[in-house]
Amino acid sequence: MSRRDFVLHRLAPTLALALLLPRLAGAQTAATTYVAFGDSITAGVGDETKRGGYPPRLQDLLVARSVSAEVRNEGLPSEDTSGGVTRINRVLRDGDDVLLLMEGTNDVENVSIETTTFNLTEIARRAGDRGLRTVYATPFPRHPAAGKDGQNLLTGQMAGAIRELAFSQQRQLVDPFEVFFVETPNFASFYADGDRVHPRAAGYDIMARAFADVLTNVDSVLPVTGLVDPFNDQKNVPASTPLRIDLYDFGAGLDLANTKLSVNGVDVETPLSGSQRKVEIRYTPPAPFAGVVIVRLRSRDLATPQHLLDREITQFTIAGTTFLRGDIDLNGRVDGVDLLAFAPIFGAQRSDARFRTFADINGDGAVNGQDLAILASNFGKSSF
Amino acid sequence: MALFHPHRRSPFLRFWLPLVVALVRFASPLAAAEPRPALVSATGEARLELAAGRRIAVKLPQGAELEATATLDTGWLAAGTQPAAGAGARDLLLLTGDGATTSPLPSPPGRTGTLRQGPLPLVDDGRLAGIAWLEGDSRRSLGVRFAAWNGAGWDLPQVVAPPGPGSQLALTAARLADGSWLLAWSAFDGKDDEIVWTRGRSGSWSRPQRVAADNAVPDTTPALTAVPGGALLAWSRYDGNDYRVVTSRFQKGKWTRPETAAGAGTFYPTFETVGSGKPILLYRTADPQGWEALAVDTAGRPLRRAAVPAGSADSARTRPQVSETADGVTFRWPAVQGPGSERAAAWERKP
Repeated sequence: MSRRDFVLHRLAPTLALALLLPRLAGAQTAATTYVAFGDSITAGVGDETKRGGYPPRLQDLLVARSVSAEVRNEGLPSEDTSGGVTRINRVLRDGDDVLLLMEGTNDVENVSIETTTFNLTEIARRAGDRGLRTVYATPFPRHPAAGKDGQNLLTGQMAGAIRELAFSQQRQLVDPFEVFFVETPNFASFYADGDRVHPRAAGYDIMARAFADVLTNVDSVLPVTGLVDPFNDQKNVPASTPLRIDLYDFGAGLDLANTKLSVNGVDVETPLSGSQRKVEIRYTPPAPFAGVVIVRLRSRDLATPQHLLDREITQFTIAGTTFLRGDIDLNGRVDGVDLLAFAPIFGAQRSDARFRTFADINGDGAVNGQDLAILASNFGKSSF
Repeated sequence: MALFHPHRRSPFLRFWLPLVVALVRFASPLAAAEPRPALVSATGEARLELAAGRRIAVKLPQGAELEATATLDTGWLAAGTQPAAGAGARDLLLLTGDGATTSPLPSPPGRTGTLRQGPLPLVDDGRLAGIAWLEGDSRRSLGVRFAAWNGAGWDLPQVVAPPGPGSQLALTAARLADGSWLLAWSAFDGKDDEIVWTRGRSGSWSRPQRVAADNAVPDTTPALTAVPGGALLAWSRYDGNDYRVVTSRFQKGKWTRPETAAGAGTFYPTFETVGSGKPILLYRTADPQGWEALAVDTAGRPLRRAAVPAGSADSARTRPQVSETADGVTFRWPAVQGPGSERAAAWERKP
């Protein structure tokens, strides 16, 4: 072999390989940088282990799933989305790859859901301008004993709006609201001690897993609803109101053939329009509704194994419905639930702080034995 | 000393002093207003801080929450919401007190919606004139209602604005010198939130209209205050990059074009009453998190500014009380414990 041949055939490839290897190795190990942006829940408030909430746990989970990842925590306690649109500019760095955006809990009492979704869109747009992909997240639910929105009516509406946002902008969605509020039994046990807003460490473990599943394409969440009209507990609904329900699946997609609606216990045929990612379910009653209407939805996704959805999604009351006296929760039946609501108010006069109009069944300004007698006389009866 | 003996007033005191007091009040409505009681905690056993730092506790029903307070000639009034019959339903909770006792006021009659929220007591010269609130079947379908207080009970509520195409919230009000009321709030118009207003005179309210020309960005969280010759309105408007506090002046039945009053990342403005009687705008800042007080003239033009960073998440989230010092402003958070509960800042002459 001549010197020229040696250089061309032996040395050159070896040298080229030696030069390229570090770059190839670097390309393979360059970590994806995730920016966890949000409020105190992103910051990790309530995490008794002081690990810093879900971001470091997410990083560990991603690495365990062979994803080279760095998750940077950019949570700021007390921030709402109006503040987020200002801060995002300072937070993002060159080389960041993915924005994990979970913000809006602090908006609930101050600005409209429409403005919250506007702000989230703006934050995601700015991240996009810097080359980042945004993953939205629904808010963490409120503790049932929380002073504000303990029933999660507003937070649930916000979750629905963020799902629609993720669908319409074709972004990935992490759904802590669904994971905790719907799919985690006794979810209230995952809050920090004495805290009705923030998770404790075990809650952050679940949250991190929800993020990790989405980021590694593991489908672990059931189909979820967005628009539900009439919404749950709505009163005075016109009798001919059609049902409008939007159903999403942000994982493997919906099994449309196995998506069924039932109204007051009877399966109904409904036209489905949309895709496996979002389907619009519409139902016009052949005859006007009456009384209290209970709507259940059954569906499943295309994941393996499939996730089954089978739950009551709305219960509403038709205008003009009259209720038996003593039907305190207005569900059409006088039962133990009404008695439980009545009992703590027994003995109260109108001037008492604990007086409640709904318990003063005969309207005489006192919650007493006469009211109890009315309730008892209707106990076990149905209004319609 | 005899001059001030309560039972032996001179003719000057009996005749001229009330007249002088009335004239001063008429000429300077801001000076007449007393600070509202501060809500130290709003749920469970709520605590209110009255004038001179005196605190009282009020045990609330389970699930109830106070949202607004007012000072009356007879003491104080607090308004909030509490659970009502039906899952998720809420009604208004109204309490009054004189410092020694607390008693409930009934909720206005004629409830038609599942939800009542956002109560705003309208107080005229120490007397309860009425209450405005939001009512509807969901957060995104609330209308605006008003009921006048006749001294013994509520008149039948009026619909000030029916439910619109989306959310309506953040009621604010001011009483003008002619006795009429301005009421403003943010309302989603199908594309974005706008600030709308109405004027109440002789028991009726004008058709709600936009304060400013239609735009495609959110206008949120309005705050009103009366000034000589009209009123000032401040709110938070998105300028394409950030939220900024803007102001507009109401005079001769019209609103002036909104002017930017504060820097990038400013929102949740309110007008605060301080010793000088001049309007002080208090608003939150985004980055760094904190609060700014902005002295403005009666046209809404910025005069001087004082800013403090938030020392904690609580003080970032909770609106402070402000008082003027010789050369600046003291920000105080009654609900915050410890050394971060009070901060002082000097006025910057060029806001």
